[in-house]
Amino acid sequence: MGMFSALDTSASGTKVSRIWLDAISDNVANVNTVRPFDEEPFRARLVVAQSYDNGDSRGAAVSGIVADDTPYELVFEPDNPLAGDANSANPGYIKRPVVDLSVEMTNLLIAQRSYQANLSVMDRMRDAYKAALSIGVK
Amino acid sequence: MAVSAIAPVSGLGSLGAISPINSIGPLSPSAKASPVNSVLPSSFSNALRGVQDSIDTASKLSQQLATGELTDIHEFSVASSKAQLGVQLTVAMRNQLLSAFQEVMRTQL
Repeated sequence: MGMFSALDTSASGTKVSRIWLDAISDNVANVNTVRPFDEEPFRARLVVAQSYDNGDSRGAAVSGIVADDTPYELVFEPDNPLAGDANSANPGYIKRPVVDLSVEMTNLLIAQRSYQANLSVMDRMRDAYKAALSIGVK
Repeated sequence: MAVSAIAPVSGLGSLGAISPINSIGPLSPSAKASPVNSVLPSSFSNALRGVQDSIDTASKLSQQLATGELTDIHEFSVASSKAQLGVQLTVAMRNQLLSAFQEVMRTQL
């Protein structure tokens, strides 16, 4: 463990939260991304976090980003230019994205607070280090 | 107007030959500059190098931040915190070493 390793550990957690925030912003941005019924719908990106310990430093890292496999739903919107035409298997239907905005907003709160929590730990550690340096200073 | 010739200085008695300084004998082995243990241990210079590295990292990241290459803003904050703390630690150690030295120099002989 290095001298200021707590800062590195907090930084790794902050990075995970930052990637999570990136994923949420992508999901929210695509909340209206409609696809034709015969294409894969847009699926929300879920960030998978994982702890790591390589002896020198510890922390969290993103081990992968997976797609939300919640079943999609076909929506009847015949006016939509992407809707299946009359001769297709699903005339007038489109695919809505697999994004639940309420879940995304909740995750947004968690990710934001997680980012801030890691920054708080960093702040406290810096204050602690500074306090240790002022020992014996007249 | 004629100037009278200056009378020559009467010969000084020959000065006693200056006795040569007894040649300084070669240093005895005990007085030779032995490899004195430096006040600063070598780990200190390694630590200084580490501080310099952290300063270099911070300045590199600040450049990346300014040019927009840096994706993780907090990395710059962490690096600059480390550099700042390292420098503060160095200054604190220097102050302690100096005060220790001055304390020794104040010793009454």
